[in-house]
This record gives sequence, C-alpha cells and structure tokens, in this order.
Amino acid sequence: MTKTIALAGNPNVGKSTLFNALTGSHQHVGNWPGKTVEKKDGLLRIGEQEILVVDLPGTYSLTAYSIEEIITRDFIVNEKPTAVVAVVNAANLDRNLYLVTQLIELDIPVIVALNMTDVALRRGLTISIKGLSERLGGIPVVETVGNRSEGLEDLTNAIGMVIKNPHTGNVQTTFSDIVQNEIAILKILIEGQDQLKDTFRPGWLATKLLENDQDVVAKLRSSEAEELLEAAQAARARLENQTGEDPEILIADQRYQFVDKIMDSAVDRPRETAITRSEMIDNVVTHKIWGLPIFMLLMWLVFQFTSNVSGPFLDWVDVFINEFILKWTVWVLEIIGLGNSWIGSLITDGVIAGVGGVLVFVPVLLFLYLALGIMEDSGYMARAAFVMDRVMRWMGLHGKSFLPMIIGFGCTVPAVYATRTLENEKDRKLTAFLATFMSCGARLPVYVVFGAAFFGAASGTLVFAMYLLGIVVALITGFVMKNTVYKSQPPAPFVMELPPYRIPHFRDVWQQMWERTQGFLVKSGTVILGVSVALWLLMAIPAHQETGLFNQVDAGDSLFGRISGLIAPVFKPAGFGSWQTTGSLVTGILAKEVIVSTMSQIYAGESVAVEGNNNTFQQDLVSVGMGFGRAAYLTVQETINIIPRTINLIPFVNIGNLDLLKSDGEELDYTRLEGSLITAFEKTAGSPREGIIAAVAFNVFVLLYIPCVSAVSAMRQEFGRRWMWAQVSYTLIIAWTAAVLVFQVGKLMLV
Amino acid sequence: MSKLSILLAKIEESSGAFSIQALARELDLSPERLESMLEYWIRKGKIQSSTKLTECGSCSSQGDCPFVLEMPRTYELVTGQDQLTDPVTHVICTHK
Repeated sequence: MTKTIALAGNPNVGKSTLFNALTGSHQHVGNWPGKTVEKKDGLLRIGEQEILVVDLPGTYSLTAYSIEEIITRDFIVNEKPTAVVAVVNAANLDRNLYLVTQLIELDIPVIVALNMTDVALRRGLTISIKGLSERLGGIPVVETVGNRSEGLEDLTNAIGMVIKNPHTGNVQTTFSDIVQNEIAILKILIEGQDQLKDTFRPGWLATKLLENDQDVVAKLRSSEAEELLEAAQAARARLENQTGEDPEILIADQRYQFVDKIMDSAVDRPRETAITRSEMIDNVVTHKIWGLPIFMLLMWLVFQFTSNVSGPFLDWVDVFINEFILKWTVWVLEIIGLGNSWIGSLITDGVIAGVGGVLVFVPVLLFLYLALGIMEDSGYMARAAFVMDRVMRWMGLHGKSFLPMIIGFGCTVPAVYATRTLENEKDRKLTAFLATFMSCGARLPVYVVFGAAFFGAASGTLVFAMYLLGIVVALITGFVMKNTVYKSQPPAPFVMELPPYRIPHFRDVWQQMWERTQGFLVKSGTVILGVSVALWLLMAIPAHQETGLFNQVDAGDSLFGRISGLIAPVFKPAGFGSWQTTGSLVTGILAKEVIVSTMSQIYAGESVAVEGNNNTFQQDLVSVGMGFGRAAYLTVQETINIIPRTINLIPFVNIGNLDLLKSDGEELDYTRLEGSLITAFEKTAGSPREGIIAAVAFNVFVLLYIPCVSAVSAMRQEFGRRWMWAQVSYTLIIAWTAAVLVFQVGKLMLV
Repeated sequence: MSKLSILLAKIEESSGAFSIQALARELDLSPERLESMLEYWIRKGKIQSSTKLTECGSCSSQGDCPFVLEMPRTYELVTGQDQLTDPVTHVICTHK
C-alpha cells in the first residue's frame, strides 16, 4: 500500500521548492475537490518504496477561518497521512512554530524540516536541532536549504525512518493543567463513541470543542453528538469562569507560551532589548512633538532643493530651446521659404513655444523626483502617515489617509485610486476629495516660473508655501466635512509596519526619477503637443472678419483671446483678470502642465523678439556646451547654499547666502516667459507690488482649482458622477475665494 | 489576562497609531510574534490588514506605473462602520 506524506507550512517558507526537490518530475497538479485552491502531489522513491507526497496549501494556523486552513486540516484528519513534514522558516521560527504545535496536537507523526537555515544564520540565530527536537517531544528535526537542495538526503532518510516506524512526539504540556483537565474530560466522552473515535483523533477533537471551532461543531451536530456538544459547552463555561478568558483565546495564548519556551531553550537569538538604529531615528522623527516640525522642515528642504538647485539647469534648457533651437529652426524655415508662412508660425509659435515652454521645466521635475525618491527609498515617506496621524485625527480621518495624499504630490490620479487602501467607504471618498488639493508635479512648473519671476532666490519658499497651503486647505476641508455633512465615528486605531531606514540605493532612486520624468516627457509629446497645435489654431483664427486675417491677427482679437476675455472679469477681484491668464487656466483643466505651455505661446507672440546673434552653428553649439558646464557649476553651489538658507530659518539669524565656490555673483537673467509675466501682472494688477500679490493669488488658484480631466474622470470612476461634480464645484469655489482673499487682503496690507 | 487579549485591548483603547516595533517592545514581544498575534485577531475578524493588490486595472501601465509607492502594511481595528468588504491594497499601482 502506498504511504502518504503531507507537506505543511506557513506561506513563503520554501515548501514548494522542497516539494519539487523531493518529487522531481513525478508530479500531478490539479485542484482540491470542489475548491479553486491548487493541489499538487507527487511520488518520492525511497529504495523500492513509493511514497505519495501531497503539498498542502500554505497556512498559519489550523483553525477554520480560511479555505486553506480547512483544506489542510481536513486532509490530515480525514485522509490520515502516515506523517506530516512541517516546513518551517528557520529565520522566523517564532511565528512558524505556532502551526507546528497544532500539527502535533493532531496526534500524527511530524517531521520538522528546518528550512532557510542559511538566512537564519545570517540573522544571527543559532538553533539547537537537538534542543528543538527534545522540546517538540522527540520528533525528527532536519536542517534544509531548499533552493540549494541542501539537507534533502537527511530529510528523505527521516521520512524513510518515520514511514517504517511511525510514532508521534511525546510533547509535555502545551496547555496549562486547567485546560488539560477539561481536554481529558471531553476525551473520555469521545473515546466512548466508536464513530467519533474512528473519525477524529480524540485529543484534537476535544481541543477543537473547547475552542468552539464552528466547522467541527457543525460536523458533530450532523453526527448527532449532542451530548458531547453540551459537555463541551459546559467545559467552556467552566474555563471562562475560572480564567476570565474566552477558552479559544486562552488556548491560542498557551500555544504562544509553549512556543516561547521552545524558543528560550532551543534558540540563541541576538538580544532584542537593544534599540535598533531605525528605532533610534524613529524616536526623533516620529516623536509626538518634534515629528511634525521635522516633517515640515524636510518638505521645505525638498522644495528648496527642487526650485533653487534646478534653477541653473532650467535657465540652460530655456536658452537651449528658446534661443538655440528657435534660432536655427527659424533659419531652416527661411532657407526653405516658409519663414513667414502659417506653417512657420505653427512650428515656432505653436510647437516650440508650447511644448518647449513646458520642456524647460524638465530639470525641476528631475530634481523634485530625485528628492522625493531619496525620501521614499530611505524609508522616511512611510513614516509620514505616522507623523500626520494626530493632525489627521483632528479632522476625523486617520494617518493612513495621508498616504494617498503623499502619492498626490506626484500625481492626483493614482492618489484617487490609492484611497482603496482605506477600509471605510466614507474615509475613501473624503480622502480622495482632499487628495486633489495636494500639489501634483504638473503644477510645479507654474510655481517655479512665478517664483523665479517674482521672488528670485526665495522662489523655493513660494513653492513650499503652495504645497503647505494645499495640505492646510485639505485639513480644513476635511475638518468641516467630517463635522457637518460627513459625520462618522472617530477613526479606528491602527498598527503600522515601518520599514527599516536604509541608505537610498542610487540605482533605484535614479530609475524612479527617470521613469516619472519620462511620463512628463511623453505627455509633452502627446497631450501638450496636441493642445499647443489646437491653441495655435484658435489664436490664429480672428474672432471677427474686421479684426484681421488668419494667422495675422492680434492674439487678443483671436477666437481664443475673445472667448477667454469673456470669462476674464470673473478673476478681476483676484487681480489677474486678463484674457491671457484666464485662457491659461481654461486650457490647464486638460492637464496642469498646459498652463505654462499656454502662457509660453501667448507671451511668445507678445514679447519682444529675442535679439539674434551672428554666431555660426558651431559657435552656438560651443556656447550651449559652455552653458551646460556653467549650469552644473552653479548647481553645486546652489546645493551647498541650502545649508545657509536652512540656518536662516532660525529667527533673528541671517548669515546670507554663502558664495562658497567663489562664483562671479552674476545675477541670472529672467527667462523670456518670466520677463513677460512680470510686465503682464504689473499691468493687470495696477502696480509692481500689486502685481506680486496677484501672482501669488494666481498660484493659489492654480493650486486649488479643478484637477486635470484625468483626475476628475478617476473620481467619477471610483465614486460616481455626483461626487465628481461636487468636487469640481467645490474646488472652483474654494480656489476663487482663496485667490480673491489673497489679493484683497494683500492689497490692504500694502496700504 | 492573556497577551492576545492585552494586545487587542491595547489597540482598542489607543487613540492613535502604533508602529509594529514600538508596540512589540511595549508588550515585550518580538515583532514577528506580534505579527503572528495580529494574524490571530485577523482570523477572528477583530482586526483587518491591508493586503497586496498588483494593479488597479485603470490604465495600461501593467504594473509599471512610475508613481507606484510601496505602502506600509497596516493593521486596523474592525469597527463595522461603513467597512468595505473588498480586500484593500498594499501596493498601489495606478496611473493614467
């Protein structure tokens, strides 16, 4: 007769690898009867004997809460294999032995395959095989490294021995006396009934009845074992009275205590009382008081880094596109006779101004994603939810809700979907709603261009202020909604697995930074290119016949200019009621990057043409190369300058910006777009100082108004049309109100 | 009182978040043991854990979304209020 061996173990302990090594190609794969769980069995030959090896589903326990648990224990109870090989992860023995104790309770021969011993050794664990075997009642314990087929022969020998001489372990006292007494009472009743005795192992059945295992109870009900069930109920009541604990919890807890005894006597572990380096860092960065200021400081550094350090390269790309590329494109167009044609205008005023206007900001995004990548890869970002928990609780959400918001710093669309991590439907909706106020990467070019134009070296502060304002508006909105229309119970507490801190891996950070930026580049070549061409067309078409001819019309009199002009008065109270800004905001609904590309197209037509130089192509190329070197040099300087800028945050301290590399101190020129914006905002708002306030108000509006169409459609897909419209309306109202407040209050403060 | 009951009571009575490491230290358990105990309460339906989701199916990035952010595993008390029945996500992969 073919003997059967079952392989059992926790998920991911290398059970399948051992199964493959034992059975080789003699395998059969199917499903467990009536279940969708995969069943694998195969043949193991030991000498002349063929042994059927069955790979059971991975499970942590033998209770009846999951399909895997029921399959595993039903197989052992009903099919009665000759022995069970318990595959355990030696590196995580503490957790794996819980299942082993339950296998032993089944009163069946058990062999422990101590797998992954190489990993355990690396973690400083020394396991006494003899001690472990003794503690488990003398059952065989074999060391294996499944992926290297080490210990396979020992395991096969142990299986062969058990097959010849099956014996169960002689485990001493898994449970306390009080529990054992009740088990003994029930065991006598079970042994008195032949049908039950033949079907179940009495000791195991008695334990399951004390645990009130519903699967077992249901089976006994159909076996008309009412007397036994009543006795079990009485035994449970006695246990509960004497211990004050639910017997199921009591029994589980005593299994853990038994595992503790095994671990203490058979395993030598590195002392865990010493606080790890990660915990030491966490004691500071997730501190109840200091955690939040540290988070804010780090975010401030990220935006200083993003806007100031990327500045030199931003200027270089601007010169490269708007001078070198533009100059030589115009030259080629003139050579082929298209210089003054609509095709020439489409290429220079449409494609180069639009797409080029956005590509200028590639360095900014590269540096943003580099900084965020470092924070993610170091393990800090996972702590943000932890740090923000107190703040989030104040508005009725918990820290987990902040994780989708962090994703929103990259892009709002995945942030909306990331709310699926939340278990509560109301929290999901509200968090997705709030995530739209997080400043996505696409809005960054707007802040950077306005920051550089109106705030110079302090542009990083404007960027930081915008990100901060987004968080603050989200928190206030959440608080108001949770206390009015979205009332619910306080958020449930949670436990979070914090990854250990590590030095960021350059390759991982670089790859992530590049892939994210690539998404921006792809968008530039698709959405932004399409919008730029469409916009050029709308700006080339005159609103009326009298205002001009196709491609020979003043932008303000074009179809686009006139339509934008109709909406523009709405923004007059906010200080930026011109058709140019309004038009940019309208196209920005398609994608936030389009705001800058639209402005580039509009102002490219209005600004004074760049004075051409008489350089040859080679001379221009050399100039571009030298410009790149200068940008790299200044980037190093700006990186170092983050230190004095941070020190200057301390009240009454001002050490200035150190010129550590002894640069010539030459001020960087404004880009063409920046120069045009300064003039335009001054003109619309009425004065240079009011122009600055209007610029801030414009940025506030960009931050808070409707996210892009992709984000809106994500909201519709996840939460329905009604919720989407609620969000669109709310963001428009809040953005307009905030922008007007900024401009009007700012003006009052000027007086 | 058993350690299992102490663990549950600790989470129920808490007004904020715990890290696995800090909670394990407080209860004098190894982090692995704590996770094993949390698994017990998950099986009992008292606690729910975030589980892994490979993709949201909303875009064509097929698991290569650059905005993927590895979400830390969390264990949360089951309160019953508006709780979702679907498994929740651990790794987010979704981007238009």
